[in-house]
Amino acid sequence: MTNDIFELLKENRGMLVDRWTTLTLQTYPNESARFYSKEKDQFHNPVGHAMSKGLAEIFEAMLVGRDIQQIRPMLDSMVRIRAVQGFAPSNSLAFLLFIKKIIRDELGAEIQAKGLEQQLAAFEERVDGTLLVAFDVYSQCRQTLSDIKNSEFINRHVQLLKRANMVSEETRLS
Amino acid sequence: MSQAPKPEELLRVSHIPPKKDWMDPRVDLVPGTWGYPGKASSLETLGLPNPREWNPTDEDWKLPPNWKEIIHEGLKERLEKYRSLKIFLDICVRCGACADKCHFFIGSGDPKNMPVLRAELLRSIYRQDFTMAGKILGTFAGGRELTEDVIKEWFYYFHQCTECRRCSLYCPYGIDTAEVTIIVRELLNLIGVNIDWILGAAANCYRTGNHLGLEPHTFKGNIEYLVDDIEEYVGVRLNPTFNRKGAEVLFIAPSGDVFADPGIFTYMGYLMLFEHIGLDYTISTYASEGGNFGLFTSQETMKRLNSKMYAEAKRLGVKWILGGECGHMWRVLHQYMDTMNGPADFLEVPKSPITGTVFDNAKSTKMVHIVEFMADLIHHGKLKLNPSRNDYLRTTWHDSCNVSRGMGMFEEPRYVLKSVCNNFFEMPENTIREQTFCCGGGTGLNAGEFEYLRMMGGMPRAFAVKHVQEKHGVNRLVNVCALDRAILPPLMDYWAPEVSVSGLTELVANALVMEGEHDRLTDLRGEDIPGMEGDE
Ligand code: SF4
Ligand code: SF4
Repeated sequence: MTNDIFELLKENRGMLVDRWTTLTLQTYPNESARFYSKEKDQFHNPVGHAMSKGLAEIFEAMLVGRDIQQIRPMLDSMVRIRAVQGFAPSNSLAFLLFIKKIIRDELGAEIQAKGLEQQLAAFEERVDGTLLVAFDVYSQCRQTLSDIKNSEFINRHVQLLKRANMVSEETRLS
Repeated sequence: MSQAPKPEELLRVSHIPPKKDWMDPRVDLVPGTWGYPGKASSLETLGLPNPREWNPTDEDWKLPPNWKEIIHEGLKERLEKYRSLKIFLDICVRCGACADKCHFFIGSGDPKNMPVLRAELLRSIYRQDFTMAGKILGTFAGGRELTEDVIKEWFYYFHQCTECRRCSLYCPYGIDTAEVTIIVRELLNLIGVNIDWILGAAANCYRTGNHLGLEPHTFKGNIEYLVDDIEEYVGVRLNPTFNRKGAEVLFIAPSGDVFADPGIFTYMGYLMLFEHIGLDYTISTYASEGGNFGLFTSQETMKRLNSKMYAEAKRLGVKWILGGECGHMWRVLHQYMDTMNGPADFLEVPKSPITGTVFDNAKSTKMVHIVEFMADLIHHGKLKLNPSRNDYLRTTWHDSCNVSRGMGMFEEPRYVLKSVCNNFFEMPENTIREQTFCCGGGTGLNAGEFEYLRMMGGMPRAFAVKHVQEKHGVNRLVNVCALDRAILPPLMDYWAPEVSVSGLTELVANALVMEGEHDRLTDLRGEDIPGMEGDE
């Protein structure tokens, strides 16, 4: 028995990450949620794979208290996927907060019994920090999409436009 | 003021309401996943029904008053004409083997993008109105009534299928949902429901011979620009001919290769290749498009657009036709051209004037794919190549659906690529060859307004590219399709930045040692070749 929240979370990490992944995938319609959870081949199921891998990595990183910027690449695929799937921004990222509820649901009694609420708050701050980084990644993804859309025509015709003196390298990059 | 939602409350709100039964046809038009409607002027050019101004977000789509009858009759006619359609609608046992094989389902998580459900959108109408069980039992037999909402749903979901046929590969009965999509789009065109990106291109092609609507002098001018670039980067001046009667070969490429990056570099490659082997060829400024957006409109439109190739071949008196790097152009050619406009008895069975190889596979259509032609040249040692010029590239190969799954062209392009480039890495086995994943934007879905749909649909392809990027440092995605060359670059910018895209002939030409060339310090893009700074 441990009196350290991080030890407690570590002992239960398999179960917690599983629940987190399941709940996240349940933000999709039933048929898709089933497929995303079941199909194990990463190339046939990039969404399910990115989510389960990403959440496991992030959980680990939050446990050891990794620097928030190191978490960024771990979030990348998950957030990149959610950013194009037609979710409202809040719905895109809410899954990161699910872990708070999962911990309270699953381990709440034990945490209370052991008086670990204070420590839990410390862990939850890491969750919040992760969400903030995810927000940066999300807005960068959306920015990339809008840049792509705006410059698609120019990029595809840049040689001809240049020849017609309608675009220079400077205007293209600006 | 309402309270901010708790995350678990958000959990209940999905982008697509999960509880909605699939039989409910109402759709939310999610921004970035549907196309702008076909313009009246395009429909008028093509002589298609119900030209009008309309908007998919409006309640009233201004359908003809007897639209239901038109769809009904249209379906009846097609069921009689195409036995395959009737079989596809009758025999599905809903085993679900195809359900998770569609890139749009995999990427979007929208169940109506499961091929079995996509086909069911038509099948349920068919069942209700054309089968005895449906007539008696209606919804109990899985039938649905044809309503305007069904038309709207068809518009949405049959423009979320790229007719890639991946699903059919896994169906134990060979049911081809791509063909269902082709038919439904044709039915929709009977009542004027279509998208501008397709109709505009088809109308342009009908009017001027190519999708962009380039007139002959502009078309020729663009190619002359490319000739100038070749002179600058390679040091040889080429003189391609246009509309020259009596040439041995008529060359037809997708027009994307004439005007858009990175296709133009592939076009430069074609010109250099023909010069290198001394091919007696000409380019038509009328049959100036290999692609055929008629395939995404109707049989009749496809046939009319396709016929110009033979008309030009006849007018110019060539012996056979050589086609450039394109995907759906070859689907049309391979599957439909012969029955629509062939057999082209006035042409000769294609024979390579360089190697003597007779292309028996093109005995009837008289049209050869440039990759087959190049593979044969390389096989016979007819090209002088310096593959090390491509050493700065670490390539992988994208099997474009139409030529790979559609025609079985798997080995020829790989053979050519490996002959001209020393660094080649395959993507994972279950994402290539027959199982290849679509780029996510074929069949006219590469319009700007489909930006999210394309990112979702192209996701499985992109993740496989990203994998070889991380594992082998791949930096160039090579393919043989003009639509891919347009669709993959933004897809890579989003999912796998730093991976650039090119056609195969571009890399062949990078490696080609041309007679009279100067030191090749740059590639065909005018970019310095690392390691080649004056050491050749
Ligand atoms: S043909 Fe391709 S895009 Fe269409 S349903 Fe099948 S897998 Fe999906
Ligand atoms: S695999 Fe074939 S039979 Fe099975 S559900 Fe799909 S279309 Fe129907």
